Amino acid sequence: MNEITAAEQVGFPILSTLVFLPAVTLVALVFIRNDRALRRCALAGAVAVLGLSLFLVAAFHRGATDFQFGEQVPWVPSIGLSYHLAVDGVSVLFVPLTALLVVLVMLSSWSAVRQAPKAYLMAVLAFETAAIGVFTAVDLILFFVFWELMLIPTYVLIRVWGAGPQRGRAALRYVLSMLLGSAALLVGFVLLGVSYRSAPGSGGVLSFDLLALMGSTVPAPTQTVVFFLLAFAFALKAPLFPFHAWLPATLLEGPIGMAVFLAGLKMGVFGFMRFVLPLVPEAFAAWSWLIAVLGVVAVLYGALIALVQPDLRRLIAFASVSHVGLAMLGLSTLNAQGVQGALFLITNLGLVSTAMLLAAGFVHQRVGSTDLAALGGLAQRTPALATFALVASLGAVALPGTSGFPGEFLILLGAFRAYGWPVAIAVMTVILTAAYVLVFFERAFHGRIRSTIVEAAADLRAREAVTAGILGVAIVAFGFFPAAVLNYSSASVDDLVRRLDPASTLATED
Amino acid sequence: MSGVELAAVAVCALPLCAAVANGLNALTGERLYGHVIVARIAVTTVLASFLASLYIATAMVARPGALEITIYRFIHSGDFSVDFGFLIDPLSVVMMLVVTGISVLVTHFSVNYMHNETGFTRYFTVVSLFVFAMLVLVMADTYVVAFLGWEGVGVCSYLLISFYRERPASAQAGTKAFVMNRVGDAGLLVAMFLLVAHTGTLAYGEVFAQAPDLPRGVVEGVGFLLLLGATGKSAQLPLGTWLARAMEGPTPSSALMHAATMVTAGVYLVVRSAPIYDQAPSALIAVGIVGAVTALHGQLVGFVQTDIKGMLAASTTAQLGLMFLFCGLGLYAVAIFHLVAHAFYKSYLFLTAPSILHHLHGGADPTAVRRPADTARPLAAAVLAVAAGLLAAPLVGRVLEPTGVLTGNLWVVLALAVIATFAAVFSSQRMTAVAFAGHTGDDGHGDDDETSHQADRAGRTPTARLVAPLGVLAGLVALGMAADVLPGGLEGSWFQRMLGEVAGGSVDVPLGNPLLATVLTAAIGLLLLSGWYGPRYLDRFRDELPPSTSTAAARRVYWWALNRGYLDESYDRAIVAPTTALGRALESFDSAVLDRAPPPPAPATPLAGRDSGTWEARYLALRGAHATGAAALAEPPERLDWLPAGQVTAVPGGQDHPHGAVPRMGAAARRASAWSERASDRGGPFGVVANAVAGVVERIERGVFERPADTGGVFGAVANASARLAERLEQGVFQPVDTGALKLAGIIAGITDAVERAVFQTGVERGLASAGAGAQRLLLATERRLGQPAVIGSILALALAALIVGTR
Repeated sequence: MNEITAAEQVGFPILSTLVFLPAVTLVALVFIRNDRALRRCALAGAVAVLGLSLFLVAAFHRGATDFQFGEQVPWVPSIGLSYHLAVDGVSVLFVPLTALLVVLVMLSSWSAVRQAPKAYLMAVLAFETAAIGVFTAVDLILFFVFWELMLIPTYVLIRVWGAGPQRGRAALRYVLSMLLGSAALLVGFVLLGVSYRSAPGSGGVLSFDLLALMGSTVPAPTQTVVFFLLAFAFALKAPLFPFHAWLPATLLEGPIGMAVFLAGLKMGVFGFMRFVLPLVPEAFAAWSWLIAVLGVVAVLYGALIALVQPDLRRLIAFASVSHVGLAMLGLSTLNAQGVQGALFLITNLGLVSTAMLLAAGFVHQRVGSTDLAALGGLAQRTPALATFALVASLGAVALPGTSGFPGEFLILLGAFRAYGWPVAIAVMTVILTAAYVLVFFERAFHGRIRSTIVEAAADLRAREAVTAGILGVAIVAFGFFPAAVLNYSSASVDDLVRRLDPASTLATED
Repeated sequence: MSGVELAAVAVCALPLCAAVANGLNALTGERLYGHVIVARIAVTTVLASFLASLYIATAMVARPGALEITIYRFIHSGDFSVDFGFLIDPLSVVMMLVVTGISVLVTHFSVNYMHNETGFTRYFTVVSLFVFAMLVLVMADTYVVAFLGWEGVGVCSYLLISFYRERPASAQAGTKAFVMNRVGDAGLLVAMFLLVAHTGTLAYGEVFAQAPDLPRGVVEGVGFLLLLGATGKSAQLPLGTWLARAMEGPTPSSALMHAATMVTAGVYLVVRSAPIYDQAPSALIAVGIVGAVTALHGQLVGFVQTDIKGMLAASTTAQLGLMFLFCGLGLYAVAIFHLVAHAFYKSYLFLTAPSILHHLHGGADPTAVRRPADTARPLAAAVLAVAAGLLAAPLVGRVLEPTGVLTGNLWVVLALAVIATFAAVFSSQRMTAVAFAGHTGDDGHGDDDETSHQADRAGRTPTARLVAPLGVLAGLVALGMAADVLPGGLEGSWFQRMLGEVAGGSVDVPLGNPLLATVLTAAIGLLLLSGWYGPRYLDRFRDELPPSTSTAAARRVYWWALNRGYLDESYDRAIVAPTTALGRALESFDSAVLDRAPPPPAPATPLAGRDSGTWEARYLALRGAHATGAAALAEPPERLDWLPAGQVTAVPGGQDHPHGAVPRMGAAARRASAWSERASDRGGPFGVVANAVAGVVERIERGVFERPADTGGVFGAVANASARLAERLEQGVFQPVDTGALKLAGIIAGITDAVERAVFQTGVERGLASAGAGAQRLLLATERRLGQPAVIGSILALALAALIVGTR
């Protein structure tokens, strides 16, 4: 596995800048007292990260399978640890996605978060540092450090700015669940590092470097063990059925800003693509049937439960479970369409889940609830909000012309190629998703106005409208031009698929 | 890019630009520009799009041949890729002309109709978007891009059905239409996956080139799945029930989407996939069966509907069914011709509906007014003139050439066409007769404009300005008939030649599944039967029939038809309820087993006002006050003075959150037992299925085996009837056949008209007494016989016999 360094490509360590710029902003915030200046400074930092991440995307070589913008500094040489950042076609788009979500969260919570805005913004920025670190780290232990670092701001955000009465419990539960997964993850990573030592060509040293590990082969029994450890950790994070129980509670109790990150950034699925598929390919291929079955069950399970949810945020949580199931089904196919569809789907969910959650947040700010009992007839008072919610809903329905479609289409196509007719069961999701999303939309936004609060609700304010506009345009644009996204990942995904199935005769470039 | 390519892109892009511009205006609260500009943008772009289509059509005539335009790479992954591109061939050009042509008229009409409506800009945005999506659908050169347009028109349909969003019925109808369409879309998706799995591509040209080499099972599977998709969009059974409710939208949009263009997308899809259906005879027969059964359903339902839009919806369903039937018989060109003709006359009927409602002043129920009057004559004449358009397309069957698979079924198809014509004329004439003859002129015209919402809306519209688009439509129909182009689409006609190899139809379709063929014949037989039987017994405006067994049976059919065959109710019981129950069961499982945390808190009540800050602040304050923890929050909030006056804050009582294992287990047990009680009451999903099966069996038992017992059982009845019919056949059918099918059809058509007048206006007895002609007596005798239930069986036997004779 080759690597192009940042020095060759842009002349400065762009990834480290991206990771630590939010942290620097965070420190700067400490010294600001004025509320307005505080928000502006944080937003400026977030926008700078977004701009730089877009530059990263522009400078990325799309046809190459190499890791790019690499920067490596020895960390603990004795056990093969290094500070190593790099991106490839799989991970590169998650950097601007994370940066975009942070900007949107800041914009949408501009006036919504009144309590301790400084601490709130600092927590969000800390999360951004950790999240970009997760997406760019290619050293296993460094990845693990960022992975754990995310928990702290997440816990604080849920605990302090949560919307529901049970938020303390939800925050604790979230952290405990994640720590359980982290334990498995760490054991898995250590096993990988240790097994590298006995691999031919390693020179008998430990290594936790993803690129080095990809170049060697892990023995079969270790592969199975590592597969189950990593799969457990990432399935818990994803969350894949039946490990999803923390998500509905967290989304219902936590603040919208946090929910956006939890439901919008599918780090569990990303973990599968980053580590499980390339490092333990044989075990993954052997157990892909299990992933497929869990995926299909999750797709229908989540959709059926979402069908009877009276609360929009719980509905989004179960929709999320359903979508993650679909992405896992795509990964399990081991073919280019399935894997690339899964990647597209989770990128898209960053937009669509975020849009749905922000719409829920806007509704919550106006009506004080996201429960059907309190809604009804909103579209008459808030037409722009209703349009935004509709675009988000249609994205979730995976309608062609929205960014939901290419991912779902490619996943189901790949799955049909891999498994044949049984996939028709998963296609039922096409119907169920439309049913639960539109039935909710109908009851919340259409019909008669039933309460005076809805009667008095105001439409989107300027900052909210900007947020909604960015997301709405992105959802439609990537729906009509999915190739703009697919171009980034196709080389890496084809390479990954070849790695999974050496017999495949895929063309390198389409 | 050549001129034609540029024009093709413009055809598509112009309505999209209009939609974007008007959409932005709508989102900014119509602050950018006013209604006049909105309407101008919408009408001008669609008109330009129509002119560009005309240009493409002339270029196509001058230089025949298909043209493929690739615009950009849409999706690619591994060895699979799809381009966004257009295919310009005779079929797509015909569809483009229909879509843009009807759209021009409808948008222009809408400017007055929607005048001063609150959602004016929103309406035109969606209409423009619809035109764009529909054009993408018909111009696409791959199934994926067609699917993009396919879903796009679905969304626009959803938005227009639920256009009056304050009405719960509209909102529900919109959701229902969309979800039922998604069922068909799922089929379409699987069809695409199947095609990719076996051909590796979804481009029309490549797929069709490979179609003959595909395994028979795959092609048949694709055929059936495409049919499922078409069934959803074109409102065919069993997915067609959304169309009747779709009439909740503004009337001009109903004309555009739910009569003229969108619902024909299914027909287009089948015709476009003709090369696949050529290899899939069983699927093709299934297309015919679906069409025949839907036409039957639509016809029976149409006879008894009591509001104009309901009648029109049912008639649309029936006509779409006929198009599917034509496809099923391999007559693609006829189907497309019927599609074009139907688009024009049905949109005309729809556009006159508001005018009729305006004159009726009384909502959409024509039975509401029954006094004789002679006002509104010109309007009646206009409607009648177009109703005559109904005659045109089905009559094409009149001169069918006996070729290929149709050899044996010639006279079945022939009779079918005549019957369908008869039924169509009957229902549209009844509509106009009831609407106009039963209305007085001095019924408060002009001075009370608030009798109904719709009348009010139409009341602001100067009738004179409506005349222009209506006149154009009427003129087109008349012109078409006068120039002798209307009965087109047949073997050797100009229309069929123009469609050429795209959809000219190869009539030499290999025989499919014989069982399916038999079912198709039986369905056609029933359709034929309903044409006679329906008007005789289902017309609610006829005088009371003498009580007899057949009247009782007819009454049952009447109720069945009035409730649209109870399809919605059955779906609710058999599909929606069990699915919801399953969802609830899974949720109980989720919260009891997987999510062992406390149950979700009570639904949050509408506590906050406009400002979340207030809510948050109040909440945090409350939290500070009750340091005891979450349980205290279940109490009603203490300070509600910031709420608007009169606000009722319902705080759910009794929502205790059990903490600790024992109370939690108790709660779980209570939930479980409550659920199991509910489930056992309803019998659960299995109970529902068992009940449904039992119900069907019982109905078959009663309907087939018990009823005809008095006439000697099923077989006795069939034997009797066959004997009687053979006799009639000898005298009445085969002799005229000898003198020529053409002549017979002419006679029957003439007689139909006479019978229509004699039988349904002056009554059976006087008609019998006054009619002297032998042929007329023969028809009346048949009519009497048709009154007997046993004749259903004999007609079926006859149809079967025809099939056997034909296929021998």
